[in-house]
Amino acid sequence: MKRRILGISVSIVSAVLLILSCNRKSDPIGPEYFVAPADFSVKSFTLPSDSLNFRVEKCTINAEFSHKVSWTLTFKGNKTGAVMTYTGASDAINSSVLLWNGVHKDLYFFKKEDVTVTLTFFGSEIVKTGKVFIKGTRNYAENPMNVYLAKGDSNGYEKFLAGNTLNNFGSFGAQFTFEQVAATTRRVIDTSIALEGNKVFQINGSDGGGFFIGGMQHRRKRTAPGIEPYFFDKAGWTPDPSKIYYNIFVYGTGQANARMNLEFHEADLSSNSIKPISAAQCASGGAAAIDEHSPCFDDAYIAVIDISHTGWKMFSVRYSDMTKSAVANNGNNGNGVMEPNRVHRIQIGVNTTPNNNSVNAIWDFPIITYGGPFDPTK
Amino acid sequence: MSNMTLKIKIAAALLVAGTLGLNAQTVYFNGLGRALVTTENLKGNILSQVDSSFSPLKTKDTTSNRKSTDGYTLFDLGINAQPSEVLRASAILRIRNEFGGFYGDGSNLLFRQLRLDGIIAKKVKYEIGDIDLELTPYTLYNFNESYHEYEADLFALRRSVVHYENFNFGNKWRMQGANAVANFRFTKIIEKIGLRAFGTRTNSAIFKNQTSPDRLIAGGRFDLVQSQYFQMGATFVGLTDMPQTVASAASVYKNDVLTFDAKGTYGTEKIEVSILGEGGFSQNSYVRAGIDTAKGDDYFYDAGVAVRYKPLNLKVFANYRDVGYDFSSPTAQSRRIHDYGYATQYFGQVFSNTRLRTNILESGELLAGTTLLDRMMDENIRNLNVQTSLMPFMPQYNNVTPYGQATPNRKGFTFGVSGGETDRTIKGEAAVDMLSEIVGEGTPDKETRDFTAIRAGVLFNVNRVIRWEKGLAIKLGYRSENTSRGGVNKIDFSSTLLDAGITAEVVKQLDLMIGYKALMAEGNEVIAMRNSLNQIASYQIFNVKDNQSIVSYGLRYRFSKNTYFTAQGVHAGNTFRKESLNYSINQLFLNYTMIF
Repeated sequence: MKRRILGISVSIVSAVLLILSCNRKSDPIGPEYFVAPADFSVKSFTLPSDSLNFRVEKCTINAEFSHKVSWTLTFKGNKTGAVMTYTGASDAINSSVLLWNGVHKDLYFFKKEDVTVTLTFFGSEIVKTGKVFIKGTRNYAENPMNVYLAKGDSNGYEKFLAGNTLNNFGSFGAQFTFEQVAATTRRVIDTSIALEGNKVFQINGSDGGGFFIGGMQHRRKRTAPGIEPYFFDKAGWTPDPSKIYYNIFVYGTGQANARMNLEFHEADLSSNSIKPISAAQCASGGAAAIDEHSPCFDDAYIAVIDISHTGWKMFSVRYSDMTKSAVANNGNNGNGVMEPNRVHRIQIGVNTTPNNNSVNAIWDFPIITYGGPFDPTK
Repeated sequence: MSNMTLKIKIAAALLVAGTLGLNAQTVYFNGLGRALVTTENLKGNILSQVDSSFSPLKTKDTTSNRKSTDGYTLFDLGINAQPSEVLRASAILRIRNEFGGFYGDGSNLLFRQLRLDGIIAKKVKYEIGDIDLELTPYTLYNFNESYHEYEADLFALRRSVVHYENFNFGNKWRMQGANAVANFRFTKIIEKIGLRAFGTRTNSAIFKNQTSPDRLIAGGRFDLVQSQYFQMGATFVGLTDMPQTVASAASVYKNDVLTFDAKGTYGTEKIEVSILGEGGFSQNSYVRAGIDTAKGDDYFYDAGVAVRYKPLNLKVFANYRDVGYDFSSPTAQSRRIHDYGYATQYFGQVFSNTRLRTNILESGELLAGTTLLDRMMDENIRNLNVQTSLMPFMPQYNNVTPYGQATPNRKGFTFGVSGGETDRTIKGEAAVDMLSEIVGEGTPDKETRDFTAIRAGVLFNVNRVIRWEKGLAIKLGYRSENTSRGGVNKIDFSSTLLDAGITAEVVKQLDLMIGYKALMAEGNEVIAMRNSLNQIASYQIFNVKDNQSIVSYGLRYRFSKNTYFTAQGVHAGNTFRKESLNYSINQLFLNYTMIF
């Protein structure tokens, strides 16, 4: 009996081992690296002598090493602290290895500024440094996965004049409307705290007893009857709400009650339909336009973000994660289907919770992206 | 009403309620009281660095602490209410007063533990609340921080304080949840079947932002004991995020581990032969919404044979194991200690308070992290949470199995011998690990590391040999590790850990104690740094030539088995990368501990 039990146990263990002994892949795991040997040296290290204009060019460095080695190249803005880092393993760096087009990682954007370049090597104490100057910053609209909210190639609010009349939105004025309650400041500010460029947008005020303080609508109007003026008409984009992201950078001032609504307003009824295009028209039954979103006939999809933080922070919300407006005659009367190809208005709203509070909201660089949240490295 | 006042009133109410309820139920108390005081100073060139490659200072450090006196008095009162034989509620109420606290300033009151337990239908034992869980070394296991089984009693005393404060009870993880165990005995064919199930929560969405969901750990074990000759079991542990607990989950993590184990034993009156093993699988996925997804499935097996000579309790064993590089078992692979980058209790900051003492870098390389002394006595560097990514570590302390027996990407043999008992003349063990990586890590030529580790220890109760009625014991411990790899990125790293200690009962219940511990490490290593997806994101390079030693001496008076007072002097010297950085810490340690 004892021998039989021992035999059974040996059989079970053997069977388990046999089952488990399948083949695994043999490729190394993790990113490849080369440690600098003791006699490692840098033969040459050269930076561009001219200022860099990333609107028209890309940048590389030229360096040669005695051995193939893992290296890290860091660009750091002296004024902004913006950083871009590249890593690689080679015995030289040139334009075939690396081309920097002014992108950055983390939060801060490069501006027109001096940039310190640092090259380090894995396993070596050798450090090479130098300096370049940026005279033209990255235009993220060149990335086909990005669409600026402002018309044209304006990064953030750079093309608008500072001030609060907002007539200075100039030729872009037709693209924007503003809503606000009393005693609200809304303006473009030229400020050193701007995350990207030099300008930000601000809405600052109290809610006057409601929850809404103010907001900005970016609008697209049809160009001809039946021609839908989609926001997202880029090649490769499909009207798939799980692919479209609403991104914005918000400068929080630590107000616990501060909230922001990010909203997509659709035109479920054709833009050829005559329908009320404001809450007031909905209430009165009037009809004033044929080519826009109607709060009482169409859908509005909303994400509420908490902007009670301090300093800059990026928010990114996927269209499909938004919720349909629950407010009667204010975006909850549509067909209930998320249709990015029917978006006519994109809104930024500043709110408080609870009511009877003030909020100072500052934001920059609103941008719609496809396939994922805004990626500053691309 | 202040928070403190409220807590005191709640505690008083509990005490009164418990006491008044004596006639209706059984209420009993247990607990621990401890008074602990240390005074220490810091010396060495760490305080005089001016513009060295690893110091940010351009001027001499004049502000970092050179001396300190710290300590506390605490009282953990365990209140146990047992209204019937099958129900019990227990709480451990902690009152702690920092050394120097005055009239409640610096005092705090908290619940250290809350637990309900009982028995259902005389079969199922359950516990709810703060529970301690342990299963197998590959599934749920809080592995030891280092090889210290044979360190001096002086050091064991220091370590026991840290273990108690951090709930390091054996190899259990302290968690919050529920646990149930049932055993069923049979008269034919099968002797016993045991079942265990548990569920706990490690992440709470309530206290996080609205994108980090609740994370649950659930699992269980099935045991079948056929007879004294054969037993087998199956264990499951799963970690699961609950995305529905937040408005918009930024990520969803899931990890399942399922293992099977068996043991067959054949024995005579004197000799017992066992064949045993455990094998299993893990499935892991981590989805970051809209960003990326990581998935990994892998397996392991560990099988061996052990022969025991019963009269001497002498055991010889040999095992072979293969643990896949993607085998993921966070509840068995999480480390107890943060090796670097965490502030220590003593002299936490240096270089005019601009750098952590446990995170001194030179050209991006870690020059100094935690020391032997920190790892033994510091209560702040312990990790109490299950980590889903493999934690960074220092190869000086354990490079062969940094994530315990379940360390992924290892295969090879372990063999050894053990024998004796603590209360006999001698007890000792020796074991050798001869392991290697299964696949290379980062290196382009597919070269893999080879590891050799030797550990040995002996406890020699000299008093039994010389027939001295009082206690006299010597402890010796040794652990040596070698790591090597050829090819493009050569690695050659070795470390040796030595332990020696004497405890002599010079007067009845008064022990004179001496302890010595040393670590020598030298060579180069490259340690993988993981991202939140547990993927290798980068590497930390180590070029090490460290010498650390601790000499300690002191007295212990034992009032009873569990009550003692000890006074110890400690000198810990550390040099890093030859002499480029050095410092020493001298400390006087006083500790009165009472357990009832």
